[in-house]
Amino acid sequence: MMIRYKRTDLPLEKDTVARFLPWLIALMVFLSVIAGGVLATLDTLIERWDTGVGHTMTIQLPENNNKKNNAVELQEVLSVLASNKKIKRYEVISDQRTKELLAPWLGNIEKLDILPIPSLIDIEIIPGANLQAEDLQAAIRNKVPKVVVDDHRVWLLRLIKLIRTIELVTFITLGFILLALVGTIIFVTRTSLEVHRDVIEVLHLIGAQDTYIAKQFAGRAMVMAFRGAVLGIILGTPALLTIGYFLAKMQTIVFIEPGLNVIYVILGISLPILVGLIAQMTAKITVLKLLSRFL
Amino acid sequence: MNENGPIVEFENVGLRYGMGPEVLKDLSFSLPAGSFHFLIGDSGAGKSSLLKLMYLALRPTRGLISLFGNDMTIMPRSEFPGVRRKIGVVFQEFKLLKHLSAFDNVALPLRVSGVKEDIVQKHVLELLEWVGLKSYIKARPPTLSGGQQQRISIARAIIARPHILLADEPTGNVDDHMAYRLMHLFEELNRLGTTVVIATHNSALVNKVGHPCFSLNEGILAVVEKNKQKNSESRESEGAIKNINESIIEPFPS
Repeated sequence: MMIRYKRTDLPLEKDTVARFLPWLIALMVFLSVIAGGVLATLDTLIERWDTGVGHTMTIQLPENNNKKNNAVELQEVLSVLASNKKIKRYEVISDQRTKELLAPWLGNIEKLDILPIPSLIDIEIIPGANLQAEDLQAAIRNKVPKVVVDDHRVWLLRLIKLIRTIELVTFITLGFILLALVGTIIFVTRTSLEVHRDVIEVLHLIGAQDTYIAKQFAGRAMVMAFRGAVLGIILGTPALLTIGYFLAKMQTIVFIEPGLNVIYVILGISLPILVGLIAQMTAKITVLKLLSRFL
Repeated sequence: MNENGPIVEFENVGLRYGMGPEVLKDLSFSLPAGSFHFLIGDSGAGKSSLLKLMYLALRPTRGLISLFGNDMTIMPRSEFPGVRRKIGVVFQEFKLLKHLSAFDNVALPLRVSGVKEDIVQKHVLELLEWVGLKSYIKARPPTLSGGQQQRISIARAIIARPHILLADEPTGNVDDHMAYRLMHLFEELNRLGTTVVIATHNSALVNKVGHPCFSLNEGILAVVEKNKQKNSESRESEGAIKNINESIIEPFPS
């Protein structure tokens, strides 16, 4: 799609300052696309963690020397869990699964018996149900005193807090990019208005309203901003995909996977229109404000 | 505004640029609707400044200016365009927009008023034909001669049928023959009801055409009496304007 400049009474297409505007806007949009990609990834990550780990707890039942006692205690714990209406599902983690979980730290273990590994029970709580780890632990300890209940939400909340901070910083960065965009438009418009002062004077003297003049500046700014934004997206999207590809390839950072958030995709597609409208409004307000000082 | 009342009224108007001396002093006069006046005076006498006050390019330092019955000193700026659209101006230095074609320059007053493009096309072509520049519609001002630019400037000033036409040295860049043809054009517009004020230092032209005349001298305005006008007729005017009364209004040659 090629957006052309409408005929204007002002020779705006000859502005040397304005000539760099699309490139500056392209750079800003490029940075915004990267920042948007970071936000989308973090959002997806939080969502995934929240649904995956947010409603779960783990019960540790320490090893006894007496295996028979172990089995009895386990049954007692399970009976407590079965009677709790806030628990959606519970599952005793098998020895095989425990081995797999410990493998990254301890390597391949033939028999778990040689280590004092506690029995583990994975619990899923009904979403929205208010079940505190301490309460559950107290209820179980009435029957099996050594039981420990781990609430994943504690460390998850800390991680989420960290990510929310990163998101906030990214949002602030986006805010600065927006301010830079508005500032650039204001600067270019003011300069252009000064360059064409003589023409504006003639237009005023033959009866042109301020809005008639402002529309021409605003239309020009919108088209240039739109073009710049399209260029920014064209450059930003492959850059974002490349970053995503390398992140996915880096197995060491296992918990980061580039996500595809529909809202961010829609925002990305509508970015040129949004940037164009911001530029249009900024230029119009700037011109009207400056022209109010003319006679 | 009363139809027979003054279209322009100045009351004790003074003007100074910055902290400089007063260039216009205590001007008080009124122009009835449909009148034709000359404004004469030496260079620097303040003719252009007076016209600038009339077409709202300047604000007076003191005094009251009334245009079309509106007190311009209290009129909000947002209403200026409406008043300016009733005023046609032929600027001394033309003030044509160099990047626009002759056609677009003439079309400007109609376009800023929001006139439909088909009407703009029709009127502009007619007027350009009338001033003899139809074959120059795409030409840009820098490629035209002084006289041609002058005619474009006049065409732009009258395209929107102004209530008042203010011309600052409109014959300054044309030969005598063209000057009289232009003068006939202004008289024709005046006959159609347009109030005309022409600032010039061409006393020969003023004397021959014979409309009421104001004179500006060191910022002070005076009415030039008819007798003095006749007596001051210069010798140079005789040869050049001997046929003026026989001229008829017809399109300018291309």
